[in-house]
Amino acid sequence: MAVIKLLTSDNVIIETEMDLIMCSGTIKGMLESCSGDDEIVPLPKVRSAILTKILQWAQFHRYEFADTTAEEEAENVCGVISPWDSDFINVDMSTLVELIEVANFLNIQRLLQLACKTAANMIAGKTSEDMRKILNIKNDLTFSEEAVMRKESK
Amino acid sequence: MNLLDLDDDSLSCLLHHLPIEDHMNFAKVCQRFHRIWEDYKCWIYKRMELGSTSDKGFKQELILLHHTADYVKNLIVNLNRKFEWNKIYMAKFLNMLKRMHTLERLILWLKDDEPYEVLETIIRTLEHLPNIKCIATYQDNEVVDILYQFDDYEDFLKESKMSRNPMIEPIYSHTKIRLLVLNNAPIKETLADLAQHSKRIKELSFRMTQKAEEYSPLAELPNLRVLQIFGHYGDDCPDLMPLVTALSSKLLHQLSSLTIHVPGLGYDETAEIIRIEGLQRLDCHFSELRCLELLKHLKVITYLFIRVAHTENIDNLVLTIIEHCPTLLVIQIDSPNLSRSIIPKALKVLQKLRNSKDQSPLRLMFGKNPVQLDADTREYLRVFW
Repeated sequence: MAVIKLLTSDNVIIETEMDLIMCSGTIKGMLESCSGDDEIVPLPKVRSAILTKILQWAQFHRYEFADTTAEEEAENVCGVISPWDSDFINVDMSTLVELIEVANFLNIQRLLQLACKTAANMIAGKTSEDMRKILNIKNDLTFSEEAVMRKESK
Repeated sequence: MNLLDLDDDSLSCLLHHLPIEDHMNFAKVCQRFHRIWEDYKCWIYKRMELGSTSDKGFKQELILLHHTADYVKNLIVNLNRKFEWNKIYMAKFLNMLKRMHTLERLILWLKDDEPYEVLETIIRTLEHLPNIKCIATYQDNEVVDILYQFDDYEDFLKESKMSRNPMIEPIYSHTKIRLLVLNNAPIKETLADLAQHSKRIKELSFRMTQKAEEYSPLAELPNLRVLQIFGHYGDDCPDLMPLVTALSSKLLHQLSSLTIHVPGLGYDETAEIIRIEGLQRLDCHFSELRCLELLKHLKVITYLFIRVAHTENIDNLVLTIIEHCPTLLVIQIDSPNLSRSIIPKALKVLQKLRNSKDQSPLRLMFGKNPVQLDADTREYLRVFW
């Protein structure tokens, strides 16, 4: 089986099977455009810890990658999270955010949707103030902006 | 890392996953969230679903619709709510509907006892929208559903009104899926949305007026057991393959009864159909004789109705089916070319394979008139010729 080497931002080389990482649209595109066999693919935006976690996810789902297009994947927002996925994605906020960032960068639609849905579930049904608390975001709205928005939501 | 470190695309993706009744609150979190909500409206609200069943949730949805009405192409409205749609809600909703110039498709999920007047007011409002292509109304019911297609507002309303009159039709006859299709627009997208929301429909029948492929989302109905498809004879043979493949792959384990009266059901299509493992009742018009060769693979079939346009003798094909389908109770063939000698042959096969004490006699329905048989044969066979 073909193997590929990935160089992460913390200078770790991770070897993985080629078809496992093909769930990443970005890497797939890179490999299609370069010819060399034994190349190392640099991923300057991805830490090795996160890449390992993503490969773990890809391993579990490796036989499910149907030939759905990225667009179809993105449309499919109402799916239920499976028990394995929900266990996998049960991480702290910072890791979750990093997973979103990397899934987006690597263009792994299903993982991106999973992570975003998980984050959305955390703030569903909450007030704006509670959302700020959960996401650790400061309220930078001015008094007059808030007044306009209050009007908007009536 | 903090959520604000993410780019706008990722944050909009998160927003997309949030129930819409929370969107206004999301927009009020901070300046960046508010800007993202504004910037991505065109993408996020292309398809919108007013589904909240609570008074409060619906109020939030209406507020959101007020801000997004210019972008919505597909709208799904759940009128099957636990609270009253009072006049104020209705007026608000209709006012917004009036200015939804980009709206192409609307699905209304109705209550079983929805008054016709409510329906009419909504439909009349839509009449003035420039881009509307397809309107669907339905009740999510498990009793037999019929998919009706109309191409004219008046016909659509007339039929809806009539079937809501309890003097004319009993209440359960309301359970029709009605499609108003304008300018022969495709219906696939609407059916895909419908299938996603129709959790209880067990039985469905429809007349095919568009390409078979347009109906393939119906295979996503999660509880469908019985499906009847009729077509117009005299037209060119439609390509049934996309629909049949969808049925055999999605309804593999659940479909128990299938009727297809549409020209064009050939060998390849039949090969797909026999993959549906739980099929107990099959009623088809086959276009090729060799389709019958495949029917022996239906291991739990009990009722088999066949029509095949052909003149060759089919004794052996029928005997093979009798031999291989142990649970078969009735086999009916329209005007077949069979010889009388099939009766003793069939008897022989059955005597070998079946126990007449455990199983009712097999009915061979090849005509209208009962054939007199001796008592021994009657243990195994009843024949109409």
